[in-house]
Amino acid sequence: MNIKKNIEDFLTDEEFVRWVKSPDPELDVFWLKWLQLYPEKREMLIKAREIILSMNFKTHHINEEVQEKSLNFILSKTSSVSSMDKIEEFSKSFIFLRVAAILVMLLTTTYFVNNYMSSFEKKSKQKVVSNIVKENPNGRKSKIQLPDGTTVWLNAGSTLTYPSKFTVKERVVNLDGQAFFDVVKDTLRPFRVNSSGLITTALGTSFDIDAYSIQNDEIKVSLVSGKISIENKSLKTKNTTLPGEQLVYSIKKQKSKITSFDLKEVVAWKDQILYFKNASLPEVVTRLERWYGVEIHLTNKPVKKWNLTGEFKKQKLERVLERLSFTENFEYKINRKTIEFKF
Amino acid sequence: MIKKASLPFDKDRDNYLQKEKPSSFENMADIEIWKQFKSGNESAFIHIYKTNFKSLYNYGLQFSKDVNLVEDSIQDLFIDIRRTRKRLSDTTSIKLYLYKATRRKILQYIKSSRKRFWNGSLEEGNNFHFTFSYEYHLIAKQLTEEKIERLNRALKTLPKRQREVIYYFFYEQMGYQEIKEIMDFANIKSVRNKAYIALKALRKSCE
Repeated sequence: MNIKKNIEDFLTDEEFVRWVKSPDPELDVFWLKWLQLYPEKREMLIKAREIILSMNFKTHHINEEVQEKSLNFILSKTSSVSSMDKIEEFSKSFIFLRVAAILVMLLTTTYFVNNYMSSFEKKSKQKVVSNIVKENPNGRKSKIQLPDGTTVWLNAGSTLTYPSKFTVKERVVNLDGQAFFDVVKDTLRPFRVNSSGLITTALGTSFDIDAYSIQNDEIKVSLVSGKISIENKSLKTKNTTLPGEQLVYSIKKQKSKITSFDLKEVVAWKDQILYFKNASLPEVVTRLERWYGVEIHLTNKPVKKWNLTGEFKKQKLERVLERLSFTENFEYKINRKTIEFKF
Repeated sequence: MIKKASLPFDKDRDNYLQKEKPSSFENMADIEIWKQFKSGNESAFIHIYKTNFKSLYNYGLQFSKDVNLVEDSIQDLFIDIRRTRKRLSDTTSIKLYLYKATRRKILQYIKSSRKRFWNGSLEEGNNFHFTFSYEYHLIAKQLTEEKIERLNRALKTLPKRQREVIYYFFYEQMGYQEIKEIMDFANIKSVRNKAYIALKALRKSCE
C-alpha cells in the first residue's frame, strides 16, 4: 500500500488525500514518519500534495430561503402525518435538553460551594492568613482552586500569588504571566487581579489575563463572560468591558484600547492546545520555549517571513517540530533542553 | 462572619449553554436516524433534509446547469422517500443513499428533457467541472504557473466518468467503496483504476 513509485500512487491513496485535505495530528505523524523512512520521495510527495491543493471545484451555494421553501413544498405534498405537531415536539425536546444541562451544572456547583464552605469554616478557625505563591516554570501549566472556589488555569512561565484566606471585603490575587479565571460569584466580595499595575475587578465571570510583562510590552485582558472593570493605577483610568471584548494596555505607550478577540486564540492554551494565529517566527519561538520549557537557538534566517496558523493538541515537542520543520522548511536538532533551528 | 457565596450561576452561562445546545440527532448513528424516519418520525425526516439538502443541491448542479431541473429532482426525491418510507431498505450512510438516489433521478430527468427538446444548455463537457489554480501561499516548490496551465489543458481531455470519480474522491472525500456504490462499478479495483488512469494523464501533463 505504501510503496510509491509515481505521483499517482500518492494521489490515489485514500489516507494521503485525507491528510492533505483535512489533516489531523495523527495523520501528520504518520506521513512525517513515512517521509523519514523514504526521504527520497519527498519531492514526489510535495508535488502530489500541491496537485491536490490546487484543484478547484466549483461550489454552488444556496440560500436558506430556497431550502425552507423547498422543505415546505415537500411537506405540503405529503401531509400524511400531521407534521406540524411533530415539529413542535422536536423543538420541545431541545428545551428539555437545555434545562437538563443547566440543572446539572447548578447542582454540581452548589454541591461544590457547600462542600468548600464547610471545610473552609473549619480551617479558618485555626489558621492565620498567609500568602500562597504558585509558580510555574516554563513547560508547566496548572489548574488551581482558590479558597473561594474560583478556578484558575495558570499558564507556563507564570506566577499567581493569593492569600490562604480572602478578607471579608474583597478577594485579591497577584498575577505575573498568563491565567484564565473562572470566578465564583460573590456579589459582596469583588474579585481583583493585580497585574503590573492593572487591576481587573470581577464579580462572577470568566476572563483571561495575558501579562507576560517582561517579554511583552502589552497586557491583554479578555472577557469571556460576565462583566469586569479594569483600573489602571498609573493612568488613573477605569474601563469596563463586555463579553467578547479585550482590553490591551501598552506599558511603554501608557495607553489602553478596547478591541475584540479570537476566543480560541485566548483560551486554547488552558485546554492544552498550542494555537498559533498568523504568528511570526519570534512569536513561535517564545511560545514554544514557554510551552515546553526549552531554549531555542536560530542559525541563519528563514527565506520567507513566518505567518503561522495552526494548532497542536496535547502534542509532544518532537511532533510539533516535525510538522513545523516540514511546513516551514528548516532543519532542527534537539540536544536535551536546547534546540537549534537551521534555515 | 463568612457570607455564603451566592450561586455561581448567571445569565451569561445560560447563553453559553444555548449556543452549545445539542441536536437530539447529532450524536445518533445514521442507521438509527433512518429507522426513526422510516417509522414515521417527522423530526428525523426534517433532520435528514436539513443536513443534506445543500450538499445535494451542489452535487446536482455538477450534472446540469439547469437549476430548476436540479431543484425538481431533489424535491421529487424527498417526496418519494417520504411517501414510501415504510418500504425503504436500511442504510448505514444516509448521505450515500441520497447521493445515489439523486444521481439516478437527475440522469433520468436529463434524459427525458433531452427527448422533449434538444437543449443546448446541457453540454456534457461542463459536468463535474473543476480547474487547477495557482495558490501563491501554498505552492512555491513544485508546481509553477506554467505547469498549472498544462494541467488545465489536460483536464479538458478527461472523459466525463473519470472527472466524476475525481470529484467524489477529492471534493466529497469519499472512499472507493462509496464511489463504487454510487456509480455502480463492478468492484473497488475498477474505481481505483479509473482514478489512476485520470491522474496519470494529469501528472504526465505537468512533468
